[in-house]
Parts: sequence; structure tokens; C-alpha cells
Amino acid sequence: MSSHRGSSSGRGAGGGAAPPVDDGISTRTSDEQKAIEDICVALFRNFINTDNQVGGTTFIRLHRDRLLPCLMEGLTRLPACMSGLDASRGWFVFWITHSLELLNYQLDDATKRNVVSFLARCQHPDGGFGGGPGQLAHLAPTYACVAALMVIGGEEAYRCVDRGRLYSFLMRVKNVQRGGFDLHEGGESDMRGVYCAIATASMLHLLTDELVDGIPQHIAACQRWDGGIASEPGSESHGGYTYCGLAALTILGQAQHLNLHRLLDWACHRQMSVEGGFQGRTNKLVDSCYSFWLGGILPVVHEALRQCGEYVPPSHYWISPMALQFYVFLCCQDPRGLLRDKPGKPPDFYHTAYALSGTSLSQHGPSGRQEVTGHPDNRLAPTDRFYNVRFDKVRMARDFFAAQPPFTTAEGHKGREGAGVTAYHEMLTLAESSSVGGGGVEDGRVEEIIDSRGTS
Amino acid sequence: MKGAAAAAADQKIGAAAAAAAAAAEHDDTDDADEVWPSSNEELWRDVTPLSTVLDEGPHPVVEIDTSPQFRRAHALLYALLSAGERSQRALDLTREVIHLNNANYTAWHYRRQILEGMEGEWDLADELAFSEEWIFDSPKSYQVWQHRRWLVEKAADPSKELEVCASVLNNDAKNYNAWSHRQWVVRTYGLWAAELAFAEAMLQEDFRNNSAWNHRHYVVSHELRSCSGQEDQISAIRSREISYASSWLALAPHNESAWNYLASWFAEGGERHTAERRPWSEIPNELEDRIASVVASHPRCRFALEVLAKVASARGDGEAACQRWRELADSDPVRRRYWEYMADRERERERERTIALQQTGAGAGSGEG
Repeated sequence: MSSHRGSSSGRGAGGGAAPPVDDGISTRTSDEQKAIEDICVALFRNFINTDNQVGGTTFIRLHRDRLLPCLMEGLTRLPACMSGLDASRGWFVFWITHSLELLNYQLDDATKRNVVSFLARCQHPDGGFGGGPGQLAHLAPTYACVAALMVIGGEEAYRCVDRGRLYSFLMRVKNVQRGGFDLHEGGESDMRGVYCAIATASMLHLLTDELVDGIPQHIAACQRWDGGIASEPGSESHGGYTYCGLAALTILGQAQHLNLHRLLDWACHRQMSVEGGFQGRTNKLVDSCYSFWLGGILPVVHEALRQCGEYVPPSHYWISPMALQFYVFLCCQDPRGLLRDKPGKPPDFYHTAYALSGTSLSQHGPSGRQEVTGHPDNRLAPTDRFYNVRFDKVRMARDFFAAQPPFTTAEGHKGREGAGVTAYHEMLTLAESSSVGGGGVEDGRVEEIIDSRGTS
Repeated sequence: MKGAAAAAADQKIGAAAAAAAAAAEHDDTDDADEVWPSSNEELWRDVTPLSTVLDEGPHPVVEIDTSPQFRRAHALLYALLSAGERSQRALDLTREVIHLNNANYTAWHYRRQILEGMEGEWDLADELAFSEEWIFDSPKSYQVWQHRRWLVEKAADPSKELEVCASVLNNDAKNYNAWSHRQWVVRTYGLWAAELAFAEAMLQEDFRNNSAWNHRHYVVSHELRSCSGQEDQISAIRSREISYASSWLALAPHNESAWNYLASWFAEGGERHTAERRPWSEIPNELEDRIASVVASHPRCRFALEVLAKVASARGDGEAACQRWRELADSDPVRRRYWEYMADRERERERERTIALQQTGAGAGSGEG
């Protein structure tokens, strides 16, 4: 098994020589790392040697036919073994509807109405959303439910949110003493809360000065010695928290509070040389959910640097999209349908949603350059880097809320979208108008236009 | 579960874990015949369970096929919660719901509200034991650790915490919540004394454990803060830490954690120079030689190459730096575009340096003229 390790080039998704994992001194970390590398290499070889010839196709495929039935089934019913996720039902709605959207699957109107009416039942009478009916409002399902409503789209979905009460919920959980947001009243406070609060408020055009006050400083205080961001000051850099902190700050148009170059360096090193996917922390194992949490950091840094007036590559986001897609398509598709963390783990909706989201981001580079690995049908719809909702749906929601009278608090604070999001869309509009000859953009066709710019 | 306590003790995972395992063992044997409060019809005669939880209607959306007990317990709990009841039966019901789904944050929060309302009628030690059972049962749950923080604050007693964290980390050395809890305890109660040794012990166990490297940095940062700007003290600590990282790198040159730790003591292009972060151009000769020898024996070691590129860049030797960035682009294909970008930035800096030099030269020239 070990004869090929670290010696020959071309091993693994990254296409390069694998570094010697253990330098001759094994520890638990290096043992586990070796084991997963061997499994992934076996899967890559298996594809090259068998699938490729016996199946009569040279394409790597994302098996939509297996995914769709699982997603549709899950949108209605889930088995008893998922009872432990009863406080995350709003998340299930988001993971599933968002995955379907990335696969370009259209829900019928009756299903959309049922989804909206379920999400309405998750909304707490005092504002915000709980993990399910009857539960307390919590920032994570609040983000998930609002994002799911954006996915569904349309006035009925948007009007389902009680924005005034949601705003007062956000102000109630803002924790000035700890610097961020408590996930719920009396709950823990970490970087998830910051992202969920800021992203939700921005999606609904509810950001005010009083809500944002002190938040950029808090996020900056959580950037660690290696460049990543932690859940709270002092903890370890982590892909999920880094995405949350960076995306929140960039939504606000305040990314200059971070050391972006150290962060970028840390993030680039998280892509695994052999497996091709991302790890969430230094010296941890690859996991497909970080396809988004890490893979999503790169386009956000790209826009953050641009807004800070720095040079960014015009055609890519630094990492290897092909290696990432090798990992997702060849190592993470479970024969039963959904996607998994890594080989040997059971598949689930969470990993399906985030593996697909990260794949989508990796396929759509800046200037519309597309990098789809394998069969052309593997192309997913583009997702938004800030909210992780399909790009055209974000555009629709922005237009709707921009046309509403602005939300105003009793003290006269005016709600708005994040300045970084506004600047990003202004840049896109400019780029679009120059590429289509100043003819303007039809709603919902942005992705095609971005795509066409890349090929023209 | 039989013998878990003994096994835990055998493995020297600490008295706390053994106690928790013993408690869990005890609990499990009770489990089969435990009479849960929701099954007692008499107890809830005056309560109307939340109907939407019992029956979600004809158009299910992500409806989980939960058991009748699960539905009834939750429907009762949410009914009591919205009525604001603070009572023993409500407290017992939170225990049942937590047993059914320990990620139910509503139940944990409600439990704390009830306890706050029943001040003096419950024993802190019992509740600490309850939370400890759950920490060992579900060490990745946000809820169990939040409950723990609340209890430790309430008891104003952090004396068991370091041991509890150590036991969890003994089973899962990178458990994020356990490390975060430990750091919270250490900073909140000033328990810094043994922490450097703890991080050291964890690194001796697995020197690739990045969580342990982070803990070391956390502790050393505290030490630096206590230097209150004394540059010679800061500089001594910095040298000590650079040596520490170097010695682990000498053992295993592909351990990224140690490289990152080393780099944390150096300022990169554009970063502010401080007593803690000196520019890469000030790298000690001996260290630079050692890194060069790593590259000599491992020409594709991206961490070592990156340091050499940054050293060259900090010295203003753009050409040598670009050479290193190109070596990286060739030998590390996953990050090829990143290394090419670094080379582009290097050339841009080089161009700016040249322009600046020309301007200075022109200025000097005109001065002479």
C-alpha cells in the first residue's frame, strides 16, 4: 500500500507528488491522514482503471438521477434516525431546496406553498425563526429559514418574514459584552451567530448602525496567529468560522479590518494535495462540507481585496477547481444518492448541500470563466458567495426589498443592505453593461450573461 | 456499557471521566424501566399539548418520523414554555426532552430558566453532574458546553473544569468545544499556571495537533501581555518560541502546524513590525540555514519554500523570491495559481521598488546638479 506514497508524481487529485505525510515519525494525525489518502487514491485509480472502460464513458459524472429522488423524499419526510436533528428542521429545508436549485430542479407551486407555510410556522411570535414549530428563535435557523425563503422566491415568500420583529430579535441577541451575537437568548456566542445575524439582516435590508456597531472589531479580534478566524477570541482557526467572519465583514464592506493576505495564505493551504478537497483546520482530515466553507472564502477574499483597491487575479480564485471536483465527484458520491463527508461516512443533506455549493463556486470563476470537471451536465447553477443562495434568486430578492419603503426603527435607524454587497452588485452591473453593449440586464439572466462574458 | 467506568479508570483518563462513565452506566441500566414524565397522563391533565407538534397536517415538509413519546414530550414542553411555567414537572420534562434530543436548545434554555426560578430548591452539584454526563455523551454539542459555562459561572467554581476538558481531549484531542471551554475557564478565572505544560503534554502526544499549537500560542500571548511593552522580555519570549517551533521542525519538516507557528513570529510584506513580529529579513542565520537544508533534502516542501520566498522578498531580493514562488508553482500544483499570484505581486513590488529607486536617484542627481 505504501510503495507509491510520496514518491511518484501524479498521485491523487492534486496531480502532484504527495508530501511525505509522517517524516518517518507517525502520530495519530499522520496515521489518519495516510489512511484517507490511500482510500482516495484507490477511488481515483478505480475510476481510471474500471469505470472509465467498463462504463464506456470517459466522463466523471455527478449522479443527478440518484440525488434528486433522495432530495425530493427528504423535503417531505425524514426517517426516525434523524430525530436528533429535530431542532434543525429549517436547516433541512434550506439544505434540500438549495441543493435542488443548484441542480436546476424547479419545485412546483404547491410544494413551494407548503414550504413557505412550514417556514412560517417556524417563525417565533416575538421575531426570528426556531429550528421547528414551537421552538425558541435561534440565529442559525433564522438564517436558514430566510435563505430558504429567498430560494423559494416571490412576494409570498418574502412577505412571510416579520422584518420588524426579526430586527428586534437580532437586537435582543446582540451581545455587546462578548462582542458578537448570542445564538439565542441565553445561548452560546460565536462566529456562526455573527454571520447568521449579519447575512440575514443584509438579505432583508435590515442592517442599521446600532446593529453593526462593534461587530467589525469583534471579528478582527477573532483572527488568529495563522491568519484564520476562530469561533471566539483565542480559539483555533477554523474553516467554518473563517467563512462566517470574513463573509460578515465583507458583506458590511469592512474587510479592511482583517489581515486578508495572511487569511488567504491560510485558506489556500487548506486544499489537500492528494485528496483535492479541503480540510477545515490545519492537520485535520478532508471533509466535503469545507468545499463551501473554505472554497467560499476564496471568492469572498477576491471581492474583499478588490474593494480594498488591491490587485486580484482576473480569471480565478487561487485554488484548484478540478482537484476539488475530483474529490466531490469521485470520493463523496454515496451509491445510495446523497453526498458524504468522506469515504466511509454515511451521506447526509448537510454535506450534500455544502459539497454542491462549494462545487458551484469552484465552477464559476471571476469574469464568468467556467471550470466544470467531467461531463458538461456536472455544471451547477452559480450560487452567491455572500449568502449561498442561487445568484439569480439573490438578485430577485434584492430588487424586491430595494423597492420596499426602507425599514426604520422607532429611534429612526434606517435599514439597508450591506455596503459590500451593494458594491459587489454595482461592479457586476458595470461589467455586464460593458459586455452586453450597455443594453441592461433582464432579471434572472445574470448568470447567463456572466457565463457568456467568460467565453466571449 | 458494563465496565466502562473501570475501563476509563484503567486508561487513566481522569477521575471526572470515570465518574461520568459510572454515572452513564448507572443511567443506562435505569433507562429501560425509567418512567418518563410525559407518559404520566395524570400529571398533565391541565396542559394542552401544542397541537402542531403532535400533528403536522396533510402537507408534511421535512417531517421527521419521530416516536409518539417524542412528539408528546415536545408538545407538552412547548406548551409549558409558552405559558411560562417554572415547576418541578417542567424541569423533569426538560430532562426527558434532552434525553430524546440533546441538541434541543429550547429545552436546555428552558431548563436554565426553570432553575433560575427555583433558586434554592436544587443542588448545583447534581446539575454539574448532569451536565458532565452530557458532555461525555455528546462532546460536540454546543448546548452541553453552554449549559456547563452557565453552571460554572453560577457556582463560581471552575475547579473541575480543566480535568473535564482534559478527559474529553484524551478521547478526542482536537475537540473544538473542549479547547474553547478550557480557554474560557483559563481566562475567566486566571488559571494560567499549568497551561503551557498542558499544551506541551498534548504536543508530546501528537506534535501535529494544531489545537495544541493554538493553545500554546494562546498561553504565550497571555505571557506577552503581562510584559507590558518591555521589549527585551518580549524579544526573549519570541526567541524561545522560534526555537521551540524549530526543534519540532527538525524532527518532522512536513508538520504544517509548526511552520505556521514559526511564521506567526514574523511580519510579512505590508504587515506592521512589532517586538513580537519582526520582518523575515531578521531571521536568525542558523534557522535560515536549517530551512535551506530542509529544501535541499525535500525540494518540494512547500512550507520551507514559502519561508525562503518570504525571506528573499523581505530582503528586497525580488528575483530570488520569484524563483522560489516559481518553484512552488511547479511543485505544488493544487496551489499553482496562488503561487503564480504571489510571483505577480512580487514583480509588482519589484517594479515599485525600481521606480522608487529611480525617483530617489533622480532626486539625488538634481541635488548634486
